[in-house]
Amino acid sequence: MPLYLPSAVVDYVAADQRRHPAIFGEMPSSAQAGPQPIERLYLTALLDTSRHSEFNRRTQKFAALGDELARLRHCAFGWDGYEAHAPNEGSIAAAGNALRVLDRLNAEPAAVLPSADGGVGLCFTENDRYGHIEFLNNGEAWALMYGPTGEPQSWQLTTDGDDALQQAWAHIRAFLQS
Amino acid sequence: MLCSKPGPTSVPFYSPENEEYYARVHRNGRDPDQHFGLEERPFRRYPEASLVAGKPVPLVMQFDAGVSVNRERFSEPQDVLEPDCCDGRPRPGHVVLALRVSNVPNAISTEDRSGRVFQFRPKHTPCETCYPTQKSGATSPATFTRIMKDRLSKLGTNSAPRWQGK
Repeated sequence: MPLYLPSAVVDYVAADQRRHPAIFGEMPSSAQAGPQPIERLYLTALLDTSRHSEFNRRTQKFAALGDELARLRHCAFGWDGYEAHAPNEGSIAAAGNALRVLDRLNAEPAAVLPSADGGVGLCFTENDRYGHIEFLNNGEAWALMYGPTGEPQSWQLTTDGDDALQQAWAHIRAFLQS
Repeated sequence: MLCSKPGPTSVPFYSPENEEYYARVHRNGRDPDQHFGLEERPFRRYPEASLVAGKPVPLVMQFDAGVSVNRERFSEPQDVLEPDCCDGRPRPGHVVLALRVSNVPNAISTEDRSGRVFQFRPKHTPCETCYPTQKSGATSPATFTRIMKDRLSKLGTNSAPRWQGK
């Protein structure tokens, strides 16, 4: 007389999948591998986590933008192939301060470039839309934004301090995301 | 002003050194040609490191000293990078933009209620080693620069580099 067993008992495939790989020699067992340095396990887990860290990505991005800004000190007259003046220390310092403010505001410039009018500009892009804040050697600051449709808009940042910068970024952000 | 010196002729970097090049780029006694067609494309060099997402941006376009370009009618795009058209200096790390004459308005009125109108007049100003050079002068640099920057800002979305330097 045949003896029927419940299906769960004869499901060897599922049982095999639960076996430790070391049983089939696919990897060394804990006995074969010896003691694992605990700090290496922690370091591996930390690196895996940091790769997905938005904070770390932004920190690295702003460090790179700071490097771009520092490199502008090496610009010479005619850097654009014509007659553009190099940025002076005042415009570089103003742009550096703007980078710190923008970092706090969660804004992320696409590039830091010298301005052909003499100064430094922070550029923002989003799809086909563009905006920049420009710090000129004469101390003036201007913002400009435009897209594939509509008229370009520009205005001078008139108020002192970080407030004008925050307002300019609010305008540009709204435009880029509209 | 760049390209203003007669200077000795230079060996071309980006074009074959032959009679065709010298006939095209050097003045060779030719008079200025002040006729500008709307479809003509002036060429302008642009630093490659200043492209943002592969596009030129108005931040890097200078207007207060006038817009200096090479005329398409008398030059190839790469000629704007040749030492003959750059005061004898090579321009590595630059790309060439092709603009449109039709994008440049004849006149612009200010929006500050002063009633000022700025005329935009291209002028062919050849030099001995660079016949295609064109300079578009303007008065009242500061205001004009700001207006032109606004008006030409769409360049950044419509234009892409046409020629890549070495």
